[in-house]
Amino acid sequence: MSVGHRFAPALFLAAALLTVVLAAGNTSGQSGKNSQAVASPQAASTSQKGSQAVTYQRPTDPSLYVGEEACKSCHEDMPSQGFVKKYESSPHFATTLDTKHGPEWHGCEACHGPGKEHVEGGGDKTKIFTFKNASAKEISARCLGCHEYGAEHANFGRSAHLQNNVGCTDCHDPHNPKESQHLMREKQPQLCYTCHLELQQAFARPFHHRVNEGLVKCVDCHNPHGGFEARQLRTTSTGDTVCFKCHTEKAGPFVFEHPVVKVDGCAACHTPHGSSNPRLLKRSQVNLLCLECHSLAVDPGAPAIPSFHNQAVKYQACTLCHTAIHGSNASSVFFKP
Amino acid sequence: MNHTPLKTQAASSSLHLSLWLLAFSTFSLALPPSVHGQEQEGINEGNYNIKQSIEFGYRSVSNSGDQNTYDTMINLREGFRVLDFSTEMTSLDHHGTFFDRLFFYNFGYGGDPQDVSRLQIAKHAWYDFSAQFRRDENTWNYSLMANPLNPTVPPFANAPAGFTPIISLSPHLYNTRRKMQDYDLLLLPQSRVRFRLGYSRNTDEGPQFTTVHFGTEQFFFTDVATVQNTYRIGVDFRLLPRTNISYDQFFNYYKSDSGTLDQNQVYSLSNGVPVDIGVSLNAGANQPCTNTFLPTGFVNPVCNAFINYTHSGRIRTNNPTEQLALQSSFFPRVDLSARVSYTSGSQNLFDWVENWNGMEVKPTSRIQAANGSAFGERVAASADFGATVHLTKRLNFIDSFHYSNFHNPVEFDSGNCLFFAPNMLIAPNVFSPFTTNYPCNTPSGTNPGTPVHNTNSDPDFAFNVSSGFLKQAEKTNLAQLQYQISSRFGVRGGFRDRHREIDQTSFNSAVELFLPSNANRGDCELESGILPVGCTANGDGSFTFVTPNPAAANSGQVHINEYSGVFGIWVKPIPNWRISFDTELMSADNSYTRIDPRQAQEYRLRTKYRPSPWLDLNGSITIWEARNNVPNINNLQHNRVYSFSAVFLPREALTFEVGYSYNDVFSEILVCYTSAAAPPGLGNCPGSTKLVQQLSVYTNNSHFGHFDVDWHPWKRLRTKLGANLTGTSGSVLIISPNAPSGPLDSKFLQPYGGFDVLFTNRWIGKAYWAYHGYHEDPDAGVVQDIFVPRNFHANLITISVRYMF
Repeated sequence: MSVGHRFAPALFLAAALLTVVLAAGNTSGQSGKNSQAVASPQAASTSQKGSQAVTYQRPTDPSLYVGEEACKSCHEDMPSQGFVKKYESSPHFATTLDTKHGPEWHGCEACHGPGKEHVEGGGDKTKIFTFKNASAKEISARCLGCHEYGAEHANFGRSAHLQNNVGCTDCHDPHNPKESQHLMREKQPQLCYTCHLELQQAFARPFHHRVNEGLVKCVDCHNPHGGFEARQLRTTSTGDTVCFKCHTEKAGPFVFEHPVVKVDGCAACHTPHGSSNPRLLKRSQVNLLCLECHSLAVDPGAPAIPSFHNQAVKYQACTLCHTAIHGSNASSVFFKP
Repeated sequence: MNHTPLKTQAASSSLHLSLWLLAFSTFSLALPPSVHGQEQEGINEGNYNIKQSIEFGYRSVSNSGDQNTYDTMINLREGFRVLDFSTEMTSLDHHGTFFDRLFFYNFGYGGDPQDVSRLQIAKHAWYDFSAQFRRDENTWNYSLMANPLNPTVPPFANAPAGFTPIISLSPHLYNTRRKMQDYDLLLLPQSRVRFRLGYSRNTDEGPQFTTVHFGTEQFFFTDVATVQNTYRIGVDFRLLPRTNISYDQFFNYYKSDSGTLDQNQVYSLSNGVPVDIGVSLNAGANQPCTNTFLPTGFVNPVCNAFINYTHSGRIRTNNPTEQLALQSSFFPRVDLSARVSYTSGSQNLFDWVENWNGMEVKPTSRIQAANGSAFGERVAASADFGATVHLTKRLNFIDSFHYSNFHNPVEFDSGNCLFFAPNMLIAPNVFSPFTTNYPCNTPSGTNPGTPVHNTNSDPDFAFNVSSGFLKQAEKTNLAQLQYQISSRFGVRGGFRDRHREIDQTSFNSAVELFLPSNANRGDCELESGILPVGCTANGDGSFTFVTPNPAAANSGQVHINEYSGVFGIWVKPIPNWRISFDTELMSADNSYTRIDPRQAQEYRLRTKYRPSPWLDLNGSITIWEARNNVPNINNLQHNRVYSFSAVFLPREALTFEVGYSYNDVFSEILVCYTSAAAPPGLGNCPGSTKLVQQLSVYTNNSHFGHFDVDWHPWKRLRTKLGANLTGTSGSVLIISPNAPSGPLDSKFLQPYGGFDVLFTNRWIGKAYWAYHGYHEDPDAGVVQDIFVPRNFHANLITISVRYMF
């Protein structure tokens, strides 16, 4: 505790320094203008030339925009019955109530872009941005213009989903969500199963984390919007493997660590999603799982099984005696916690 | 310990309910169809649109077979339940007085093993609050796990009536309840400076059984009681354009007050004192001892057995963590994301106490009183950096760097007093008269005199200092070039390098006191008539040993360098068809464990295709191949999954989904072991003359099929029929004649079906049936399979009504 607190001023100073450095590095002269904007508009500059590939650049000319009512005049029930009514009850409609920013941040045109040409073209679809044929990157750039900031979405640009052309609207549906909360296209885990088919069979095994039952969600362990860990895994607040968020008693630290738990992680012995083997173990028999590492008598890392452990007599499950296998404070051979 | 398979008949009340519902359904269907929208429209009240629904009903369970396995896998019980309750409130003008949106979902209350409540309340620019409560009743009683698989032959001589060596329960069974609560509040979400507060609480409580090895494996009860509280506070600064800097403080506090005691004294000594003879019962292997039972049926007093046992300690762990994060698109063409965190925690084990009274035959230990405490630290630092450089409109350079470093130094100091006697009917002698400092309290009932030791007896008193140190430093960098050729085609390739440095050290020192008789034993055993270094003779015939020049035992640093090539491609040949493929090919120069691969390849292919509005086709292939193919390990592994699914929507009222997956898991590795049942001709394990070496081959092939039909034949009727079916076959090296193949030859079948009837716009009646069946094909001649089959078949009927308001 004390050491951690000694670092608090240092980190605050680092944050301040970083802010100053970034401010000094802003030579484009646009910062003053942009800093007038609040959170969402701040996300996408309208004046950063050369970064068109990075973020969606909203045209700022008010004359290009037609406003919410013009859209409503045609889309009241198009493409589906009650289309606008449904939109008006969605959280995105709140953008139309904004009084601080220009029309490029309001309503339909905040996402679909200026609609004047589309209206004047008699509803010409080529004159307005439609999400249907756009790439995930283009789509996501529009969404991230407002939703980028915060730990949850900060790494979406480098996420496995976007790198495989899976964008925001593949999971979220702003107009017809099946799940009102977060505007999801489908409930979890069914939504995830539509691509990750191999996981549906894993969670249908006799031993599994209670995902299908609704106790655990995929997003409890994985951040679908990306992150710094492999497989987009989350971590605990202390930076440990996400497993320890629920399985707190396994986190330690222990006087006698089973080091593979901390070094290679729980998946060294367990299949995290589901298994036909009890305790989600990678092997059906505990002793064979142990022997895979504790075999070679000359290996200093994992000591070999003692020669008096006659497997035909009583030592069929090593954990019968080595009960505290995840780590112990009182027994170097994990006989007790 | 014995358990009789349970058979529960469906309650007659549920039959009445079914008949009632059937009659009501028939009546309802005869009514003119009312307008029934697909979505609940809710009611407008004040400035809010409110949608609420509650579903409640009765579930009947008819189960035959092994109740323990049913509880482990399914654990749904009979009774009334609140199956679902939800509330959604949305402000009509998006300017609610206290909130704009509210979501509140609940399910499982009334007795189901999983109860969940989720709440989210938000007011656009003011706050966003989310709360979650989850309760998981975690039942575990799968008889094979940790089971000693005791043979019935040869039988125990003189065993009392009703005795059987078969253990029908898992010696590590438990029925704990984990409650997880998470609360998060984001203040001023749209502001330049916003604040975050959070709190999580995770408790785990309930009974658990375990075993401890003292000569044999005694069966203990543990009262699990752990709590973890996590506090979060953070602030986001968005003072610069397109830049967010966050600072967070986390405080994590864990405590465990679990205690263990022996409640399994089901047999008696001749003096009437009940004892626990443990769960390893093998007369042929002298378990728990030679001649376990006397001709009188009483337990042999010279046997590994416990009269009583207690074990407790209080663990307290503090983990304060600070984190600084940056996210910025400030510089043209560059997106940055970074995070630095530091944890410096401490752990204390207070009042660790272990006391037992019984017999451990080999060292003639009779009573033990131990106490101690532990102190440790957990120091962890991590730094992450990610950058995307947009070189051109279509070409990106992406780099992700990860650094982490943790080290855990922990020390345990303990004192251990042992008292010796030749059998459990005799109280130990306590050495007298003393001339040395003897720190042990004399247990009641003991006699002054000379303890009875043999040459295997442990020290009469030992003070041990044990410490451990584990460290890992890891650096990973992934650099990629990503090129989007068109809106329908993208490709990427890159290189990942990962370096790990692992260090583990342990340190042990002891002060030991060896009292007569046989005082020259253990660390003070004479070597060619000379007292070993560290031993000194005391004036009363006892010897004191102090570890000379204690040194740390270091298993040596392990350095591992991994290099991977990564490649990915995605194609969207037509708007409704997406294909993605990616692979990673890894090579390492070392491995930490024998099962860590030195070469691994991972391939993932996924496709989604909607050829028409009424048909969705999805498929995936994921393949992982790994090798640690070096002498004396010869490890090969693969995990391959092939899956497809199809969803048909021929018309609005009918949906049919079908899917199939095949999972092929394979591993082979050289293992060393000793077993009287080992096949002849095996070579010795390197470095050992007593262990044999054999290739351990494990296969697990699983077929999974599922289908779901959702049909609305009339507006007022919805029917569902489906199933999730898993069949597993495989093989494993059998090195114990008592080991069954168990789950490697099993079927897990879960069909279901039922219907919803719309009574009115607000009331829906539901009747659903679900079957859960688990079947392991028994192995002929394996006693565990003969006496304790784990198969079960359960039919669940749930009759419920849903009211929307």
